[in-house]
Amino acid sequence: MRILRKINKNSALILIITLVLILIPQLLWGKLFIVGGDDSRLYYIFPKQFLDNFVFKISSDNILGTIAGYSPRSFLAPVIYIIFLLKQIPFLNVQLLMYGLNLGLGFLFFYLFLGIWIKNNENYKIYIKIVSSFFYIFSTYLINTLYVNQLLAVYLVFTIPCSLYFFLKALERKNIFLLLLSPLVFSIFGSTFNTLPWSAAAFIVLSPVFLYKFWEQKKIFILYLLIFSFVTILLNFHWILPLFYSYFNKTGSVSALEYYSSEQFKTSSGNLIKGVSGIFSQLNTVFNERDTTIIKDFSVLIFLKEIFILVIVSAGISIRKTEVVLRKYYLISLSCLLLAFFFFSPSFGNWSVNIFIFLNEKIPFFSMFRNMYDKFSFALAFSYAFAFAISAVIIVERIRNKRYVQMFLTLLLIIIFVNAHSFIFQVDNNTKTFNTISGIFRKEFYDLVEYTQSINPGSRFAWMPLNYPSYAYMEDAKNKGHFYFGTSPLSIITGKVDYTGYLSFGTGFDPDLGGKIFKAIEGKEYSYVGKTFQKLNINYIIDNKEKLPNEAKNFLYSGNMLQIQDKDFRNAILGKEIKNFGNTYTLYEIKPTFKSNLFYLTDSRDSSYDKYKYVKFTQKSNSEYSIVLEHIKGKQLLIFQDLYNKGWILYLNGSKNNILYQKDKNISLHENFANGWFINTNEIRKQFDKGFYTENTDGSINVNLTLDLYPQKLVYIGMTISIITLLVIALLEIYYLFKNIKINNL
Amino acid sequence: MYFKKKLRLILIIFLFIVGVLLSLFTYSEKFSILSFSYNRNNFINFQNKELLKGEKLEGKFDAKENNLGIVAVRFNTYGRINKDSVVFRIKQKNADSWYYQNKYKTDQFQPDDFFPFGLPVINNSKGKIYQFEIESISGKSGDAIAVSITEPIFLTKYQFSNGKYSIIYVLKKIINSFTNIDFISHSIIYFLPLSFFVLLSFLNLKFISKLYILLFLNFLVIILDILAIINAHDSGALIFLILGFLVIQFKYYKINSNVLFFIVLLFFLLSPFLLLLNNAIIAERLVKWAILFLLTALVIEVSNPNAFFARFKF
Repeated sequence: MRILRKINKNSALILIITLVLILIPQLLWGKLFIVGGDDSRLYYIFPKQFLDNFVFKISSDNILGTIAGYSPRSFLAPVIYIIFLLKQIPFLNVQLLMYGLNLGLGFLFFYLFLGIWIKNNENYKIYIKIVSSFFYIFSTYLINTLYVNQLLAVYLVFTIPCSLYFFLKALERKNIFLLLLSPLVFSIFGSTFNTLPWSAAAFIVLSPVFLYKFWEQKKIFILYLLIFSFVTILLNFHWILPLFYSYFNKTGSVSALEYYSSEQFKTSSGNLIKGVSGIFSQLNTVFNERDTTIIKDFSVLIFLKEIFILVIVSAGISIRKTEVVLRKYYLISLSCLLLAFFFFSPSFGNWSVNIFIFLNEKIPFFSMFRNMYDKFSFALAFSYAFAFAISAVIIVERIRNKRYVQMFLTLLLIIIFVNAHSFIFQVDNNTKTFNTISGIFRKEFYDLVEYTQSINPGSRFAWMPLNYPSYAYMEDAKNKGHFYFGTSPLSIITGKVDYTGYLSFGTGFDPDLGGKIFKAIEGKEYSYVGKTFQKLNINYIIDNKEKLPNEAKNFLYSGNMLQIQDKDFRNAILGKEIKNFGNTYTLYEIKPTFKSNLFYLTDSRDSSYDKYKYVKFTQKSNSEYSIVLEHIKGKQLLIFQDLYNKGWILYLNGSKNNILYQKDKNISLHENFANGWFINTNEIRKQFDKGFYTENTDGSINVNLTLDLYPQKLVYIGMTISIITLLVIALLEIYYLFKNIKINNL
Repeated sequence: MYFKKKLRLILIIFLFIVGVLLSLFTYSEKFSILSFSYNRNNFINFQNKELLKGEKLEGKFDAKENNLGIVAVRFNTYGRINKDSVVFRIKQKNADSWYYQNKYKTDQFQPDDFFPFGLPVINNSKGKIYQFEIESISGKSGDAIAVSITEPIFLTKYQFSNGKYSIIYVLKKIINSFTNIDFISHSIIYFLPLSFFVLLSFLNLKFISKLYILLFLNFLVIILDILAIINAHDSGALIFLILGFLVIQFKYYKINSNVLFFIVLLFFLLSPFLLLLNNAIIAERLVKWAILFLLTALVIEVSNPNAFFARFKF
């Protein structure tokens, strides 16, 4: 009741708008899940499976559709856990609920963020803040980027203003409890590493805000920034620790940090920057239009959308007559906007492209902004709305008749909604059937999934026909013609690893393996394909006979990709048919000559495949295997047919005290792919007591080994630190609430 | 008086040398390369339309020098990234087989800019006629390139890489450069200081008036750029010189920054009408300069101690 009494008319209006925005996707976007694409978005349908089988893994098979591997993925965990919790609410589509919350809370926190700059709650200021917040969440730069792709970066729409609001409010009130909420929100909803290009772009563009705040409150700003950074690191320790471990220890596999800072990546980024920096011109920024055909399709609406920049410039004309504080805020917001203009489209002339390329070459990881029109879109939307809000206040303060102000703001609202109507009502979405599903697949698919789960671990699967983007596709059970069309869900649902096409084969050691495979198929060199499958430990082939619409086929198969996977290819690769699943999927064994095992013993590195001896093993998890070596004599090579990494530790009898090989002690890359260790029976006899192995009458020994991936432990150590930090923050916030410290004006 | 005249002459020579050197060194083409331009008549089947799957553009040219190494073609990308690939082939006229062919992805083509098709250098190319083809592999409407209509449409380039340049070569290079329209439009801006100096030194005006004329000339360069007569906006050094000069002028004469905001507003208001009148290039340049003026106004305001730093604690 006390809270209700505190809510005045204006606050009620804001809450109603927030609520309506939260409900928009539920009410207007149908009931289906929007899935597919490069990150599958299946975490909305299978959040538990994502948490169980994917996000905490750090082995070779934790990247959807590829085996680039050994990179931590746990930065996805917090937001997927939130999805998992919300999914428990019955009758609601959790994806649409999340999108609604993102819109509603994005609006609310941008409104609150503006409140830091625009004080005194006169009616017209509240309306300006409302219009600006709508301008932000329905920005053309969000509608055509984050809202189209709908990857987890979409939640930055809410996360950045929210996190920024808590940080700035904490500075203003010198309140540590508010400050702690800032890294908390950012770490949970921002999926940090995954969304770094967008959040870092926002940080660059908003640097004048930080600079100003630093200048204003030097000591406290530095202190709070340090606390923010420290807490953010601790909250994200679960992925920071393994990521930096692999970067500094050169574990063999190319780590994400190593890849993005490599000269090769910088060079290719430089070329891309040259190519794309002119796609959007400054006409796009001025007319608030993110369409490359702006010149050809110039219309009245585009003309009207110029009004926002006209307001900003008009405010500049009367800036000298404005009060000093507002003048400063205007200049700060204008600086942010100009930075956003530059970085969104460095198309002012050759010099601006050269500056971008210079930054790409000199600043580590700047190449993540190589497609700047995408990465800086969010920052542009934010800074545009920020500059507009401050400018509108400056102008409106000079207009005496506030009726004109109301009319003007209403006109702006109309422009914003007309511009966003296709997004709000989800019209003109031609790809709907490819990416909207009920979340329930056909029975055949579930039967296939169930069967693959029963297959012994250690074998990988390949889909046939293989396609270029490495997508799997399956029809929705309830909506004919609707497909899941994206990275394969098999590894998420079952934990089994599968290959779907060209891009899925590349490794850090052999990035063009997919190209080589397709070249071999085209040249009918099927034995090369079979041997490569053997190397990759592919023992099963899923023949997918799902009928796809032509547009989807064109997307999947460029050139003659489909035609070359003909009968001859199938005959050369496919072995015994294991099971048919309703004539949609047929599971085959691979041809016996190409069969493989995860572990082998051989005499030397040069031995051919036919001399490899199978080794018995059991898989305890993706990072731990038990291996049984029987009747081994002398020095033999144990080969582990998984992507090379120096983080594996080999020890005897399941005891970590009996280390046979420490990490970093495996042989150098085997066959450009696998790991290996020399097992010397004489050394084992010397090093360990008889209790650790059994001797046979022929002089050979039997020994049980355990193979364990060290970086996986770092995930758990990091996770423990992150959870403890989270609990401490939660306790502090509860303490803060119970001590009845008033958080006013939130 | 004599000393003044001598100084003036020295300055004129100095500014001329600066103009020549800056033109040569800032132009992207290497000193060791001679290039010659060709127009649409050199295309056998020139068409101002998208190059669709299987379609070919055929061109021919007579090689002006030995060591032919590059044929650079100016493409129209329609302001988008096209996923098509093209095959470039070249041979001497009437030869049975192609001398060289290669596949190129069109996503690297720049709008209205030359894309260089490199080929193994032909040492004795001078005087021979060559023909080339550009074939689209998978171009489809809305996702294909075309040859640009901006002249010159293609260039041929000849490499001299032994590092020993004869006087004849240097002269050839200078003549070759000054017959290149791109080079001329590029170098005009580096001769502007010389032109301004000559103009002012022969006008008998007071110092203050000369400064006003400089301000006027500053805006003249901007207007010439906006009207696409020169390409001043491509030179970062010149841009910052002009903007820096504007800041100094505004500070010196205590001109209120709202003049600049007003010009920006005017430019922004003009741009949609220019777009409606199909003057996209001018509209785009107008908007670019408007944003640069906004930056200038910002710098003027921030550097005003009474305005920005008034309430900061130092």
